[in-house]
Amino acid sequence: MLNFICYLLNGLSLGCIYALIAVGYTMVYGIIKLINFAHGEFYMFGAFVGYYTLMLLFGGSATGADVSFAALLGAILIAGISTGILAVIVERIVYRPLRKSGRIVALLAALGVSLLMQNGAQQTFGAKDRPYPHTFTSQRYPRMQIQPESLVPNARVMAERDVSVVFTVPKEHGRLTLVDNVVQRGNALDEFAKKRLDGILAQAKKDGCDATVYSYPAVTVTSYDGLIICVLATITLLLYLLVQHTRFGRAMRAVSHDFDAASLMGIDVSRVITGTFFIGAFVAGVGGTLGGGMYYNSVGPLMGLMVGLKAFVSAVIGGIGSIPGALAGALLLGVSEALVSSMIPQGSLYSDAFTFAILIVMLLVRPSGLLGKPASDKL
Amino acid sequence: MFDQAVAFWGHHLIMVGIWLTLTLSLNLINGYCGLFSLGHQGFWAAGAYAAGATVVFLPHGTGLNWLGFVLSFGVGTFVAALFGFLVGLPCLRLKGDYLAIATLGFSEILRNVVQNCSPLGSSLGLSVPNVMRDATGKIPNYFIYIALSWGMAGLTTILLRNLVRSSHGRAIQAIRDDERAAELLGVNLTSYKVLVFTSGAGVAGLAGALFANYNSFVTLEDFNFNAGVLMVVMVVLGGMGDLLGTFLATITLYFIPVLLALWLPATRIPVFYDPTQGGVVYSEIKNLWQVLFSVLLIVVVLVRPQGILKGVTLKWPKFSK
Repeated sequence: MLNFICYLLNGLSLGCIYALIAVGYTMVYGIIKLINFAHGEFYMFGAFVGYYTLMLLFGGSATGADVSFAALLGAILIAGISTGILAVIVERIVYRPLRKSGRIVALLAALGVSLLMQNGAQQTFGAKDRPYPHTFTSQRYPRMQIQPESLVPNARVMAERDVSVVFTVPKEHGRLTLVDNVVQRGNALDEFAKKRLDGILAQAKKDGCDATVYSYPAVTVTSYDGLIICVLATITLLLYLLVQHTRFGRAMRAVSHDFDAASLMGIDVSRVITGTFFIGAFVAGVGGTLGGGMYYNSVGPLMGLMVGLKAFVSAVIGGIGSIPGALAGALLLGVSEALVSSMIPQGSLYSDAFTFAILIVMLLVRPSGLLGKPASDKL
Repeated sequence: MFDQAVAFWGHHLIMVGIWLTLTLSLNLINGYCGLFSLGHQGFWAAGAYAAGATVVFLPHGTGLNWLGFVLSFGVGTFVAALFGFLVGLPCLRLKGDYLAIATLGFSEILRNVVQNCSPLGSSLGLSVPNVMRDATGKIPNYFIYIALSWGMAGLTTILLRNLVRSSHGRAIQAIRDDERAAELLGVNLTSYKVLVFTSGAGVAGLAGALFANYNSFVTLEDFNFNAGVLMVVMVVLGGMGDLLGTFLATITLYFIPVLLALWLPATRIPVFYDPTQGGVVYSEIKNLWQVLFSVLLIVVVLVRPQGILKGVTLKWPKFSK
């Protein structure tokens, strides 16, 4: 049961990454009925901008010190904004001239943009995946501080709680927090583990590091998961306020409801489309920094391919065109993927097949998705 | 020198025949019946892997090698057609974008299953022993394969042209033009859609069988999403449901990257300034063909979205007095 909750939380943070991409898919589709296949590449672009911001502006490196919270937030925002600007440029040059050309042609153009961005990134950034700069070390919560003296080695009793040492190492430009596991739940805290713990503490004292011993309950959330979930929650709230309570949001809803009528009512449709592309890509860029930096810890030119497809699948599951639907679909997909990977033997090998099987079942049973409006077939 | 040229151009002539077969069969599904499929690479892969497995698992011995070679074409076609039938049946209810995504989903499922199937070589690829290669692994006579692949493309063209001009072909095109009107006029939507998917997939499987036998090696990378995208682009830019257009678009789009890679100089030019990688990043102009190709693709879509040849009728010039 406790493991189950762990998998659930893990899946939730994966679902959040999908959700950050799926939102853009669904918003663009809702307005101009275009499956923007280049959206996964916006995610990749955002990850690269975040990478370079952290490396060049904030002095990060793959093995460096922890960055400050402000620097992390700055990198996320810069990534989001530059991805948004890129999307607006792409929309202006490629999609706008094709607005009247039919959906298949626009879909082809989107596939072309996606190819261009993949190939361009391969040439400029190199084909290899790189490790993301170190932001901060993930820690587990809730935790309880314990005194090292209170741990009495006993090889015959199984430990009920995980025990690890968290210590900070002074680096040239700041501090680096490290976590060293001493004993895992279910293993005994024997002489060997106690000796190791004492060794770590002695070394930390010699190097002038602060070291604290913590014990953890069985179910914990890592700080990465927590941050990802918090970011998604914030973005959801902001999107809700934007769509429901601003003039721009009202225009967006009107255009998505009826494109022609909205333009007849004097809404500047082009501006709404530009804005939608910007917001969708902004969110994807944020997702790229979080996904590359926290979830996958790598950045590469093809990172957006599979994640983008899965985000698209979640948008379809939730009902494409509906923002709450995309969020629900993405969380559902992330959680079920994590559960399949962990509960079924060899399930992780088949998680892609599982995702697309869900998609096909969903399309057959309820093509309009969980929260989408059933499409009326006009004669 | 001459041998190298034969190997180079022979290879590309064979591959273009295979690609023509693929785009022609995709044209039946996408162009003539209007079922927008993004999963044709899956049928191609199904045919290639089925044919490869036939050759690999048939007991080796004199005579049996040729049996395997011949049999593999039948098995590849059959397995891909079966797969097309299985995809076509549930996808009948879907249209447009949704159908495209569902077919893409099916091909991704196939890909994932093959990836974890060790008898088929998982993600490492499957070596297919080839009776036509000599001990050094070279193909002594390219012309047999060129004849096979262009014969296959030609046969597909003739079959497709005859099908399109028959009453069945008119029913298929009626489905594309207006599904409901076609149904009201007595066209059996279910059987025609399944027929289109099954036969289109079967022909793609035949192309896959030839590819597996010729190339002697298949990996999943040959059948990735981008390959499927390229096929769709060829069909759409050829003008959906236009045989001559498909021919021209396929040959052009196949050879543009080949020629770009051949003709672009190897000069290194700076492409990016990246302090994390030690300064300026250089790339050979030769390697930029993919970027050029995708730019070209976007430009063509922007300039002639209706297909390169749509609206242009190719006729012999008439000289009147």
